Amino acid sequence: MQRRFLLGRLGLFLLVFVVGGLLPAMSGAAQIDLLLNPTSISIGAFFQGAELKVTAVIPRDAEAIIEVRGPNREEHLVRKGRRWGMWMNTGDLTISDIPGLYLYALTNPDLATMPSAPWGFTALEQQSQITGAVQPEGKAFFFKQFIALKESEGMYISKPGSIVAEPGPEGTKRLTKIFWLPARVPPGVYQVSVRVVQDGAVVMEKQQELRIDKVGLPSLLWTLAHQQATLYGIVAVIIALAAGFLMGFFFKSKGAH
Amino acid sequence: MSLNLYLPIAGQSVNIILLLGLGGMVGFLSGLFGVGGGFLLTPLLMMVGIPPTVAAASDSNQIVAASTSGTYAHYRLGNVDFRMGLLLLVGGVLGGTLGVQLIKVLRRLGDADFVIKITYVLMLGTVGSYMFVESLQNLRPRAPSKTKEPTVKKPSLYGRLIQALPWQMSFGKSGISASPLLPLFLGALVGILAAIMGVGGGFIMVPVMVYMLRMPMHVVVGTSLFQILFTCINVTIMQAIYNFTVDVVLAVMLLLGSTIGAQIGTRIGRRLKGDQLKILLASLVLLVMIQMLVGLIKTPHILLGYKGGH
Repeated sequence: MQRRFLLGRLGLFLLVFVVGGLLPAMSGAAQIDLLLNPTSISIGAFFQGAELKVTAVIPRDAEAIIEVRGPNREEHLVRKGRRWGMWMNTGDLTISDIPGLYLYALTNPDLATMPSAPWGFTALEQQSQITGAVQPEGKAFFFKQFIALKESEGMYISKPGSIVAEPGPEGTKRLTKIFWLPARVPPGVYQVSVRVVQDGAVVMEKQQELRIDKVGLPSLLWTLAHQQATLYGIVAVIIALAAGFLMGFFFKSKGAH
Repeated sequence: MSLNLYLPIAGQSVNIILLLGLGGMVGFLSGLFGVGGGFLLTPLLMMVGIPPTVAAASDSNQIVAASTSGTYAHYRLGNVDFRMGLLLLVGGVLGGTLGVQLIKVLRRLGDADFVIKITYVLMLGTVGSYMFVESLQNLRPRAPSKTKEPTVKKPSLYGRLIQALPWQMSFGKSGISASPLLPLFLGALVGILAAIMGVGGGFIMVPVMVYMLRMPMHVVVGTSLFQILFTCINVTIMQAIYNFTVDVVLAVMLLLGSTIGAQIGTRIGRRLKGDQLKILLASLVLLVMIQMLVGLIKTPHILLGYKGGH
């Protein structure tokens, strides 16, 4: 009798323990939320770059990586080298399967060095190919130079430990990260993702699309330049001729001599 | 409203005041010296972050406006020798076509970049130094003892050679007579160099007209602008058709500045003596040469760049 009672208590205890332990994680899994503000970006006549606020709700005891990744493309580059004591372009390089823009942030700097992590510049290096005027042993060096070039334009940014975390409801936390997309972002469909890491492994992942489009005058001119190139060129020349004549005429009527 | 403007073809946002200022400065030099200013503006635009190909093409578009404004101002002052300008233009187009083929061959051989940069430094260095020294000597007041009874100067070998060419004709505005073969040949030579260097060639054309055609400086400036106008119309349309690199928004911002600058330059140019003008242009050319040389020797910050420049 007493034994049954004890077993029953133990069973109940186990049940509470298991359910209680699982619930936060399960509710976290259900609640992993990813919000973008704005949800799309328009490049208009006065566009000068844009702020993107990413909010994610994840389990409180987990770490996370937030990424903004542009569409993959080919980057055509020239390498500089010394020849006869002078610096000049000494060959062409192409890096393919590489995003035009790549911004990422981590809740914990240690995540940057997690082995075989699918984020960060090391992962980009493994996913991409370098071809052209470079020996296999020089590839790593030129990939680092490429990252430096992209970083100088604000197109690649790594910010370990720069995510703001606040406690959220029911064992969750709310992460906020503000990214700056520079004015030179090419239009396209961008991917914003959050990856949740627990005990050294990615346990959850959520992605959302961010559309960047040219609108208004930039869109009109871009389309004209590419679809009606001859007309566009002639119009460009006529505008210039008219402006030159008008200005000459204006100065003449002002009568400087 | 922000002061930044998005350039649709360059895919970059740039401050409006900066663009107007750059345009104004280059237009001023254009009106003053009869150069297109491409050799100055293109590198400056690249520093602002405009891709090299878009910088060069939009610059050509802008030069159309500046040189129209400048040619018009010089035409009213009677400074344009149309006959000479047309001959140089025809030569220039032939030379330019030849130069483009030459560059293709050099690219296949692999050292095009080196040839382009060295051509720049050598041309700028030679032309700049020669003009500088020559104008300085002319500006110095001569000692009275030296002004002996004026003897008829014996024509140089070059002088006799150009007089020996067939079909001598007179160029009224320039006050010289020469064979049309001479401007055709010299125009072609400048055209080849301009194609190799990827610029309009005004800063080589001006010294060629002064020293090899012996035209007076003021007519040189007007005629050079006239010639540049047509070269740049051609380049703008070709770039728009084949490379999609003409950014009209960029060009309009630059030309607003440059057309005003060109008018001011033309007026100030009239108040200066030919030798003063030459010495100023020579200093500018030498400065650009030194800047290029430093760029060649100094170790770059990042050993990679985007393809598309020279």
